[in-house]
Amino acid sequence: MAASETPFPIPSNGPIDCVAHCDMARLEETLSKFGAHVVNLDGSRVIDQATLFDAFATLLHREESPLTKWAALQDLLHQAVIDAGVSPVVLVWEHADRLVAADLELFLNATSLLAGLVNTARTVDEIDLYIFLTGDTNGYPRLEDRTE
Amino acid sequence: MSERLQEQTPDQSVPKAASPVRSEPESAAPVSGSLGELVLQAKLSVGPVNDPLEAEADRVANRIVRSFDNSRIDKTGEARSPGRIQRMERAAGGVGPAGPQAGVGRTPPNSRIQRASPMIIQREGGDDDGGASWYGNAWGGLMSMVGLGGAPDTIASDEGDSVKGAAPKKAAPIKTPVKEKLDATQVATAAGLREKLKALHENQHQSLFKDHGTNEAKRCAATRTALAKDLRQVEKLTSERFSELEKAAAEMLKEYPEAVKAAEDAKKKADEAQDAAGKAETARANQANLTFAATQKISLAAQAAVGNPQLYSQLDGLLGGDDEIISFCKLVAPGRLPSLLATFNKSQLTLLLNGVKDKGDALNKLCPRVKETGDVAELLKVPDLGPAEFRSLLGCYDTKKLKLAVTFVPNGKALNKLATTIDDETEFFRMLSEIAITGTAAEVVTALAAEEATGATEAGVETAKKYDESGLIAQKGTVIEWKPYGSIKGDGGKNEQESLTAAMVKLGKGELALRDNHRNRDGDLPGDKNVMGVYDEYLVKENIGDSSPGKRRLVVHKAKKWVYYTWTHYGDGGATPAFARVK
Repeated sequence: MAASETPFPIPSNGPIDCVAHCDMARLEETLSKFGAHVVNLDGSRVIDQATLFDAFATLLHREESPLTKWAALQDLLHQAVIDAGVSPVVLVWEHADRLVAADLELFLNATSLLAGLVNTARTVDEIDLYIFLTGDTNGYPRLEDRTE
Repeated sequence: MSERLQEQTPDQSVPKAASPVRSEPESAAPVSGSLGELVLQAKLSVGPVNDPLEAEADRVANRIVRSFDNSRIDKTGEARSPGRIQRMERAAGGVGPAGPQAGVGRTPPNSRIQRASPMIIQREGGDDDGGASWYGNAWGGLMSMVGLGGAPDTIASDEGDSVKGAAPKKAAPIKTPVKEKLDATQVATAAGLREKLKALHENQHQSLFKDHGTNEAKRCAATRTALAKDLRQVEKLTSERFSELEKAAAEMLKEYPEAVKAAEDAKKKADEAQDAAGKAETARANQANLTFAATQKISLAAQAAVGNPQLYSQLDGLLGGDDEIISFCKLVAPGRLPSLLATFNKSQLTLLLNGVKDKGDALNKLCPRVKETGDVAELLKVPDLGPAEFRSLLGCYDTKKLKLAVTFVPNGKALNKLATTIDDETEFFRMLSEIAITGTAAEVVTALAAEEATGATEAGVETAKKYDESGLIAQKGTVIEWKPYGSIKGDGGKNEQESLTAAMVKLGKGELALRDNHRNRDGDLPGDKNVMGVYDEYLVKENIGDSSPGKRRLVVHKAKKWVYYTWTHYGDGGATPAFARVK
């Protein structure tokens, strides 16, 4: 599962990129063509830690055992990336702007976790992991407007 | 015995009817013709008691029987010493009118047992006169046996038959015809001898029975002796055992009074304890009644004071003394205390403080009831409390309580309150010195303001530093267990100890594969949250070859080399503990 030699089709500014939610379909199409394994996190109802963890639990198919620890969340996400068995893996957090508006500190914690996960996947597991956040506000540029 | 011997003799087939010497009178035949037909018929008579002949016959018979007894007798009754007592085979041709074997057949039952030596009755050559010759031989032999001096040693027959014994005196041939040579005296003698023979026969039986009886008696005596011996032994053993039991019983009896005394003492103590318990119960019930009454009164007073400020002025009259003040303090639960005090306005509190003899005593008594540091902080936040009242309030606080409040009250709000409410700088610094805070008032206020921002007092920081060095205080303030990994129970799952040990060994060798960087996002480990590069995380497999990572992890503080083990997936889902430090 070595990192792909082909350049990633979407210009990246770092471990986490933001994209306008209206470009979601194009984003998924592009990623699929690239052969990436794409998973989506529904952030439309994420406004606090509980709803954030619930959303991740749904993503990880752990609805029956709710998450309460950040460390556990990071570990499960890490294991999910490993279990995917492909590279690259892309996590698209849809409507991330909802949490930004609701709890900025929590949002920063979550993105910090995801950034660390990207780093671990690339350095420890040699898996290319990309994180995309989608939103409807000005902080989420259109796909064609993205520049490195 | 004699019957058995007779029945088992080989000669028992010989017809008894032809016996020349019959003891049964009804079968006796008269003497007629030749001597060979002579039949000696016994004339039964009872002789004198001290008849010497009879005595001699008894002696001889006894000797014979003794020799018989001396021979070993097997089960068939045959004598095993044929060399000593035997019967010689008679020559062919028989002797007697009844046939060749008749003479043998007529032999008295006991006569077939004869001494072979020195008295052997032997027939030599032919025998025309049959039974007479045999009888002569028998008679001669018998005479030799009995040793009667008057009897001829040898009776010879005219046919040359002879009966000779092996005795030193060799028997001479009996001259024939005997009948002719016998006169009446001799016939009478022969008859007498026959009688003697019969008597001898009877005596032999009697002796046998007598000896049998003697033997039985001896055996019984021996048995009795043995039994007596056994009995003595049993008696001896019984006596010894009895002595032992007696001794043991004596010992028991010796101890018994002590046991009885101990039991009596125990019973006495039990009774006393029961009495004491009863008294205590009675006292408790009485106290409960009193307490209930007092509590009722105080409760009413307190409720009146809180709910109706106008009634509070009556507390002076209601709280009559220290005991009731204490009861009032006990009535108020620690959780209610802050809110209760918060509801007190200045005048009410002043009234309360002035209502007791020693100002501050009421709150001083309240202090022991305040368990939570939060309650202390709340006490210090009582609104509208003037400097005088506050000083009075703090004056009743001991230094320990004050230090506790200052150290652990978050954000320094208590001291901030203290600084802003105490206008007497001297008093303020006196209190600050007690809690080891120095500096000018402005510096202290500034410091307190800064502490309020950082959320920690100096003492708190020092304490935190001390705990930090142990690696056992988590960022969130919880205490982490520290155990040797051999004693960590963990989830108790399969191969947990083996897996943990293997992981620790590999970790020590630097061979354990890194799984992730741990950032202490949950604050369950010492140090700041969400800081990268402090901790590394390793996997402890639940089973060798498992693809699932499971819940067991080792998290290592890279700089301090502290090793933490979690088997609860970092305490996810509320599981405890999140980590244990491994020695």
